[in-house]
Amino acid sequence: MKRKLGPASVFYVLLFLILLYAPIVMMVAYSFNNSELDMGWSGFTLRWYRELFAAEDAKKAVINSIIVSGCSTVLSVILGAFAAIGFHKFDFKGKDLLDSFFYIPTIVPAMLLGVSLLSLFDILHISLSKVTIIISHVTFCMPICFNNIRVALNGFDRSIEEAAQDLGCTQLQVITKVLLPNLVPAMLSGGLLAFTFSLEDVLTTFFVAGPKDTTLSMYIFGQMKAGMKPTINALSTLLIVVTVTLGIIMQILQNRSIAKSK
Amino acid sequence: MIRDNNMIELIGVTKQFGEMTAVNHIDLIVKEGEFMTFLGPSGCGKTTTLRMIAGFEEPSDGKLFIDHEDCDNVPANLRDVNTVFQNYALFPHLSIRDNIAFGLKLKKLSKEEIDKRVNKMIELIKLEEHINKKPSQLSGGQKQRVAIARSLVNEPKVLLLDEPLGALDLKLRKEMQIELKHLQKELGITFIYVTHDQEEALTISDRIAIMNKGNIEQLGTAEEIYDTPKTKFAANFIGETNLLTGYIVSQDSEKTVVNLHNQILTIYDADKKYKERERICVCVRPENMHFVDYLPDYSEEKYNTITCIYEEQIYIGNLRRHILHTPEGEPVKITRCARKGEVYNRGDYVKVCFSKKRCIMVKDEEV
Repeated sequence: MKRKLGPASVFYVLLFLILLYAPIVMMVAYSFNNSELDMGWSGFTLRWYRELFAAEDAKKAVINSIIVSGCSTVLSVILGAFAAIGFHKFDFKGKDLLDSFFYIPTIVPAMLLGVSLLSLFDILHISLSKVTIIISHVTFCMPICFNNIRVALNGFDRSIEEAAQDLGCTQLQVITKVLLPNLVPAMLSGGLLAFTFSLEDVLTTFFVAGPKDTTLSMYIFGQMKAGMKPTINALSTLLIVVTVTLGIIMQILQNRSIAKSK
Repeated sequence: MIRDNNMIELIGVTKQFGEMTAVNHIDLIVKEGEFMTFLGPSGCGKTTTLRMIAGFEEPSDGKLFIDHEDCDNVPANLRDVNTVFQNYALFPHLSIRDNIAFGLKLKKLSKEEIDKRVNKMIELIKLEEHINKKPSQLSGGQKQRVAIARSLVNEPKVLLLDEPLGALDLKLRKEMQIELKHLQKELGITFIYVTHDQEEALTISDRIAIMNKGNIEQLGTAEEIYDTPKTKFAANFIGETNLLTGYIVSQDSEKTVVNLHNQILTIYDADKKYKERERICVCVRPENMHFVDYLPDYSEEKYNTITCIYEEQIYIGNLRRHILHTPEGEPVKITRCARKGEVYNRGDYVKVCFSKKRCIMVKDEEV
């Protein structure tokens, strides 16, 4: 039975939502505020957005982020899909152990991951660049994709694979003609999740980035040292728009793949 | 090589999963164009046998021939048999048309040939208006039709059906049984059908293999199995039956004398040879069991008579089922036409009888 909420409960929920979303709403609002200071409303402006688009280093950071997050997402999806299909198709010694190893990078504190990756690159004499950022991002993005695809595979009826084989598919064709097409929604939603994780990461990236490879999140972080500038509000607002859009797309894809498997 | 019309031959086929023997040394021949059913309770090895023919499981021992070809090490995708799965197993990402065309496309047939055969099949299963839909948009019965079409379009030598109607409701299932039977006769393809539903097996099969604990208990037509079950399990599993335990007194070339809790019965069944004092069950179908009081042509020469204690009657539409038990506690069921108004009270001692020719004996064993 569903009951109606009493006034106390409504108040609690409202308070909760305000605490949760007020900072974001404030930030979005101030990105349109015609004032240098974050105090009081002095009229609507798009000035900060114009300034932001004129700033060369901001532009560069965006491009860097797109390259880094794009590459690490694609790599993570491919590696995650291979790993998940391997886990689905074969039984081997140490499977459970390997399974839990895949999750460790996602739960290790980002700073520790950054430090350990930095020392690894140092030992291997790999100079820091976009490549090292991408490698680092893949370490925590791949498990996300792997997990997403694995869940989709667990719900996949094995007799469909047998039916494919029965109708003439070789083992490889079962994967290419039946498994992969059905995994597209899971791969996309996993990829989008990985992309957002990669886009917003500061801590790990901070350790492994080369001097010229400032990503968007690092740029925002760096700008904060010089004090709160309204352009940062503008940039953060754009970032929120992008991540929320990706989140919504991901949700739709997931719902669709759930509906499909029913 | 002698060419007979054996389509499937199993010779001593065994399948073990670890310690468990799922299929125990089965010999079986399925003829070309035959509708063969594997019938048995769950875990009897019927699905495992089917999966070995399909190529999803390797026999642990024994030989398997499909159309005289040894199937050792031939993977499922190279066998000229197709399977219809219980849960349909349609490809969710493909339209109905592409589902049906899947096997033909893999065989790299020309587009015209594929279109021709797919269209013919779609017409046959009467799903013309659904060809561009996805499987998730179809009902269970429609999905099963697509699954059957997807297999048959490849014109396999044998179609394997693994409880294909198990997920459908009773009415639809009965319709589909008839449809399948007609389809099979029309196409002349060998069907091997797995089910645990004895009524379904009786309806659609040319021959039935009754399976239990990895063995084939009896192989024969529906009539043969119903009228002359060879084992207690077969008698029990197909239809309803009364099983009365006793032992052999004597046997000659035409009749057997049985002691049933000190009532001496004569049975005109001497096909199977028994030793003296061997424990047996006398099987009488409920429709062959009568009340002495209501049998006009009753005579002691023609009928075996036993005394039972009346329990109750159950009205089931056109029939009335009377439940009784022997003084030793063995249940006895009698089915009679519902209109006949035989009335007894609970606890009445009632004389019941069955023709000396309309009963058979099976060995008494644990089932």
